[in-house]
Amino acid sequence: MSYLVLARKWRPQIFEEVVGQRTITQTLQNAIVQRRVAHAFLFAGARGVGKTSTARILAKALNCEKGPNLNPCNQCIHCKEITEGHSIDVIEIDGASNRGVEEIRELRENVRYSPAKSRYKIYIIDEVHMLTREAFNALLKTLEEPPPHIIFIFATTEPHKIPATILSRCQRYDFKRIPLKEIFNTLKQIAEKEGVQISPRSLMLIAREAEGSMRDAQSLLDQVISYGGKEIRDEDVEEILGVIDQKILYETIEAIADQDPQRCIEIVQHLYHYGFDIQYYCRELLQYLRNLILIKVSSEPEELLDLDGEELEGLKRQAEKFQFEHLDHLFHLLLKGEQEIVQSTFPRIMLEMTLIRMATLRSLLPIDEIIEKLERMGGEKDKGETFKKESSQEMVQTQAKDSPLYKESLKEIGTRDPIPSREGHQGVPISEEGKKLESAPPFEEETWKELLNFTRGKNPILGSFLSFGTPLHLDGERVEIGFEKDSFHYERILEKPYRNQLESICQEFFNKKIKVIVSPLGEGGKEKTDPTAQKTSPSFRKEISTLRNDEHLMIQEALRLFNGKIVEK
Amino acid sequence: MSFKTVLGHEKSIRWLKQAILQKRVVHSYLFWGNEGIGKKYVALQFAKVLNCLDKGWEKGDACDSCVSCKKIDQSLHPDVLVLEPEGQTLKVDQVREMQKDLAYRPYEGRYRVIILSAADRMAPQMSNTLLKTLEEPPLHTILILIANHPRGMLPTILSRCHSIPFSPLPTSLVVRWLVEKKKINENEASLLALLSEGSPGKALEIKEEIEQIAREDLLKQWVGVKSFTLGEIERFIDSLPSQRQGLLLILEISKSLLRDLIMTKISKDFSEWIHPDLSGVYKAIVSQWDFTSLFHRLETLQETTRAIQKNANTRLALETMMLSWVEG
Repeated sequence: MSYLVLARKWRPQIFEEVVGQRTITQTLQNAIVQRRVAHAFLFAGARGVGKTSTARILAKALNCEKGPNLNPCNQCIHCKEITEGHSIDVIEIDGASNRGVEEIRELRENVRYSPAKSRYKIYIIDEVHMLTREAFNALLKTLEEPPPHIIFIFATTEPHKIPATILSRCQRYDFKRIPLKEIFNTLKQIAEKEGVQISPRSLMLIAREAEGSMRDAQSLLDQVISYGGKEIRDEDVEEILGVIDQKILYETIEAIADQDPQRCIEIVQHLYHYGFDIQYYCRELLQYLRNLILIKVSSEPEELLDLDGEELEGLKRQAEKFQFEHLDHLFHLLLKGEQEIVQSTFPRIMLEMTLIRMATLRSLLPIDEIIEKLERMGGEKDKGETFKKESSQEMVQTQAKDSPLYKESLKEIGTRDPIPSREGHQGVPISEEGKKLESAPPFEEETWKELLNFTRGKNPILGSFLSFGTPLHLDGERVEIGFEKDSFHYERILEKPYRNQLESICQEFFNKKIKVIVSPLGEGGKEKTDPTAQKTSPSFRKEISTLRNDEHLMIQEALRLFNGKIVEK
Repeated sequence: MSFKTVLGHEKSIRWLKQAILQKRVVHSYLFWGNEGIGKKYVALQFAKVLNCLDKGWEKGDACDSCVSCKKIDQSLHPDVLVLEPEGQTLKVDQVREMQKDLAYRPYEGRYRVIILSAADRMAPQMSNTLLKTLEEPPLHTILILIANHPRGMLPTILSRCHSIPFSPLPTSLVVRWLVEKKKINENEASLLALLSEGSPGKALEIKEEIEQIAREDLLKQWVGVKSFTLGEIERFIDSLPSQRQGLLLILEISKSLLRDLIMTKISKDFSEWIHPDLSGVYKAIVSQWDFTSLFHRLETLQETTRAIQKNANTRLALETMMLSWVEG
């Protein structure tokens, strides 16, 4: 005789035994007693919550020799036949295997005949969501007005796949996930009846793992028993469920907090050595991060977290090491990494890389703080104080002192951009230059502006090129315009057609023949010697230099990248 | 051949043995773990034990000498059926056929054992067809589903099976096996073992292809090079195999090279390289690199792999990737 799994052995046989669905069973019982049984039912709900069991009990209660009654007697021939699955009047159909319109036609043929020996002829169609659309439609008429002796019971895990026309013809019952406590109690009873010794802690672990499905829970208990025998140790349960020691998770986060990639690699090695499921580990780590985030945002995390005091204290201590934004970022990195791990042929590499990334992620300053700092710096400028390079430096440091990533990026910015404004760092006092700016003669600023507008009117493209230039010399004899060396505009303006156009436009503007010179501006070149350039030129260099007072590396980098300017602060 | 001959998997086998000895063998199992680590092999041994004429179910192991054991070894046993996917996945017809068979009692064995390969790749429609059979199969029937990972399988299927995980084998074990049984030299064996992540089957599968890949060139001329000209990009892509499978393997190897490079960057005295023979090269070039660009490369490699798996134009995908390397 082959062994009967717990889930089948302990399948509920009366309504009261169906766990966690009291509202539904009560309703059904009342319907039976009041003789108000509908002719079509739909039982929907997650796996292992009691749909098929309830359907069978209902069938039995209706066909029971002593009924219809509150509960089947489970003694009479009808009840027994139904339990064993070979009653001729209760037909259980696997909807997934018999899903075509042909099968349904056959069913319709048979519906016409009255039951062989019981009160009702009951069709239980399990996994009904797998029927084809045609099959459903073929059922519609029968389902609406079946012969009086017919009852349909549909069971499905995916009610959304069932056409609305079917739904509206059925009485629908939504089975809920079974509460943890009830699963726990049922498991305990089963363990007692089976003569198995198991600690409440282990039972709780199993119940939690089952996520509201009784069949899952019983199946797990079965596995645990077949692994550990009649006396089950907690370690066996942990091993079977692959429960990952909280300590490993704690250490992972600790390593990330300390920005210690080395330690992360060791953890991965450890995981592999002990054969943990990597995806499970990721899921648990995500859960762990989620807990940390909850502690950060919630004033009373105790209520949201299902943890004992000691664990909670540990988490709280750890949460203090992180900013919320940092945790959030870590969570996203891990979530993305997890997907890559699933898809990758070499999951280990992806896990290592994800953890290293998390460990090298620099903690970001919250946006609010950055804004606050910027504002404070703005205030300093107003007071006319000279900009201290320390303040910028200080900010950099708070971002991440030790992160190698950050140092790299700093280096990169440093070597890549030749922006002269960086000299401001070296301590050229701004105010001096400012004074220079003010004392400079108003020079042909107006003329330049007029020329620009004039050019724009004549040739918009040329005009926009010109607006990137800096007037170096501008009078009735000579027009000298400087462009940033190697810049796009400089190269364009040197092209023959543009040169010619420029010359003719200038001639027209000044109304006489005039010499036009286009010259390159090198690093810290001519524009520096010509203070007016700074004032009149809209070139981006100038924008940067006026920014000195509230410069910030990020802003500079952004300006450089987009060749932009600050419009308003 | 019997449980004794299985490489590793002590835990999973202990579990199965316990079930046999306690007469708690259930009717549906799910064996899952990385590809090529011996799940199906264990499933066959399990079938042997259950059907062994020498009362294997009392000893917890097969005798390997009775008619039944020999028949299973030669896949001649009428009651032990292995369903392999025809093409990409199992077909509904195959399963229907099998379900019809189930209606009969086993012909000669004590149990009918059905082994379904690649259960995680079954289409949902297929899985649904199996639900009723999995929940309440006829007496004397044992179904064993084989999958790489339960993720992606229907929860309704999972809750009907006893799931038994198979962990990757320790590298040392795979190396020993490759050296002793397959006469592969030590160095190559350890590379294969590491690359296959503890899966002997996969190690053998990739062996030939790996031999053809010049890993050092891959590192020196591609992954480890900071910048390319357009011409170089084109020339390099031309040199790659045009066939998808081979290309994907190259991408995977490139990822492992990058991984080594990142590891070298993190710690000076790192020693767990996947390609230990290239450690000299890593050390030579690591200083040119920073984390951002290494991670960028790894990420783009990952994206490209995914795109190519999804049937993207390989040449375009590779070009896009390499162009982004140049800019980044």
